[in-house]
Amino acid sequence: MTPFLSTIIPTIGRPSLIKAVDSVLAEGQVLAEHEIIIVNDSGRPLEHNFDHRIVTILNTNRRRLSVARNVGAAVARGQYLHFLDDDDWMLPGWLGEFARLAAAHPDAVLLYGGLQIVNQAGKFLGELNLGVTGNCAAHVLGNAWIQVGTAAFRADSFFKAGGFSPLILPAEETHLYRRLALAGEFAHTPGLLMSLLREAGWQTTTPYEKVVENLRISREAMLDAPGAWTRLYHSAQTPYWRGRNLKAYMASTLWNLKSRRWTTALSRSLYAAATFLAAGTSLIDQDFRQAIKDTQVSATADRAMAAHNLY
Amino acid sequence: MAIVGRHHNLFSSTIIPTIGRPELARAVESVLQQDCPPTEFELIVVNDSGRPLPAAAWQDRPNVTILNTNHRERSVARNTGAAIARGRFLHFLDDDDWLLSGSLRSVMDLAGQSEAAWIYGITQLVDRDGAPLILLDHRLAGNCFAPLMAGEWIPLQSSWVRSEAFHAAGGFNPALTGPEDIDLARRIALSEDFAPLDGIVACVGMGQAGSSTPWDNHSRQSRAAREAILDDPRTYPRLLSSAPTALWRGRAGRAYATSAVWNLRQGRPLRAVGRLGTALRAMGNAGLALFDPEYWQAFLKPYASVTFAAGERNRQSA
Repeated sequence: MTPFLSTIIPTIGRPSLIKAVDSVLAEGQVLAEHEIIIVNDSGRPLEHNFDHRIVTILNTNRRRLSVARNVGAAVARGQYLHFLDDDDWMLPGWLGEFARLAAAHPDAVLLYGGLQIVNQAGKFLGELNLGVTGNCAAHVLGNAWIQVGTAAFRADSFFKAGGFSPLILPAEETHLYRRLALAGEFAHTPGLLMSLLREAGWQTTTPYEKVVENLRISREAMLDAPGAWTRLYHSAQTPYWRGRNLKAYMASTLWNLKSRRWTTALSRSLYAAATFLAAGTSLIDQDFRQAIKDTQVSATADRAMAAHNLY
Repeated sequence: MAIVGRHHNLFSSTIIPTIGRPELARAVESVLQQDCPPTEFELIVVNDSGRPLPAAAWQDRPNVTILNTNHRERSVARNTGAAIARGRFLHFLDDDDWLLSGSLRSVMDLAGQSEAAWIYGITQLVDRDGAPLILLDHRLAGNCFAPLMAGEWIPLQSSWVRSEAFHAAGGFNPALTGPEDIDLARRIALSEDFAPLDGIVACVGMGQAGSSTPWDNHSRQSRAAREAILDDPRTYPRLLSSAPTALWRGRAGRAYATSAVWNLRQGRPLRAVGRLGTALRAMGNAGLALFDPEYWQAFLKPYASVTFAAGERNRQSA
């Protein structure tokens, strides 16, 4: 039987893995349609024995996050792939929510929902949800954040897009969303699917100093893709996202000029001009100007995270 | 619960992706019969057939691991094997090809003396019945980027790649199903050196008959992969530094000139202008070589493997 969904949990052996796995296993009523693949990338055996018939453990050899996730995806049998980090956990009802979304949007390349942010004491700090269904190209180019644990990727679309890039890490999630958004539609549920632990002084294994450079590489790849401008144009339904599109083309023009890639810079500037002209009355909208001013950090994530001083 | 993979380091990991062809047993035995301690090498069979492999004695050997993927194609299957591999060198063998005895020992000896990231031996190309056809004896050493960009193909089956170089290059491109091997060699050659062995190390099936490669996409994928490499800022200096003669300088200029034409045909005029500019820059850099007829012969002649052509000539004269 082909499982509906495979949950892939890469781990560096943190104790929080037990809570992550338990939260996935807690969806007892639909276990027959589900499998869990733990990819142990810690370089040493796991301390806990996850003895369950739907759990498979793969040992990779400190290959880092993208490779570990891709390995789990390669052995997965599910129609949808779901990637959970070992320090996050799922909320009750998440699997049924994905099943409902998949039934309602069978052609969507990505299903996603919201997440709640809590601190170590379990206090609710806020929630994140991009809240857009359909063509999300402008949103993911503009760095709107979909936490990977709240997303289920259609397996065939995931592989067609090439999976997570081992070379663009961190920002591997955004890079994959951007390639997917060029290829198909996203479907969203307002439901909260996952819990994310954050508080001031929070420690991460992600080398964030490389994020800006990787997002820039990813942006250039997206803007290089055939048909990108048209896809971005149709995706931007509000003045804010039209402004974000313009900002992306302007930033790319400047970067290519600095890198002495003259013809690419000229190409980008022409697309920027087209984006400007196509914006129409959005040009006089406050949101349009705000989008140009905003940094390349996700506006959706910013509000909740900055409100609690979690960056 | 199933557990796959272990932790420890050894010299070589051979990864065989398989679609369940009966020749797999021959490939497997050719690896397991190498005259090296089993603690120095492992075999990872990635079964991408979507069905269980028929039971066989070799599956119980302690240095054998079997992974099941689900029709993910060769690049994903190989990357998956590489991710669980423990070897300092990775060797990718197809399920219808085989290693010759003593190959692994030769590679270990050379690896002890060379810092090269890609060690390879001579390849015996065979027909689908196993009869010898062409001998591929490249003798390319050091920076091989220009020859690889100009059509040379070093079979994976005869190659051992340092694990860190493989992973630093991002492994095989999953979007490619056919030119993924030459693409990997080019991306590794961008920053790493190659070292050849003297002996024949592997027999590799030749020709499209019986091949699992989707040849109809080969040309399109190959061009897309080449374009991505030409976009890399490391390419131009690496290409020139691997082109010391008029012949290779002509090949380097051709790489950008043909890309300019292709981009123009694809309706990407600005990119075409960019490539043309780089082609002119490469021609300017060639200096006096521009007056050598060999330069223009290389510039105008379509890409092809010099090694393959030499092997074919030798076969016909024999």
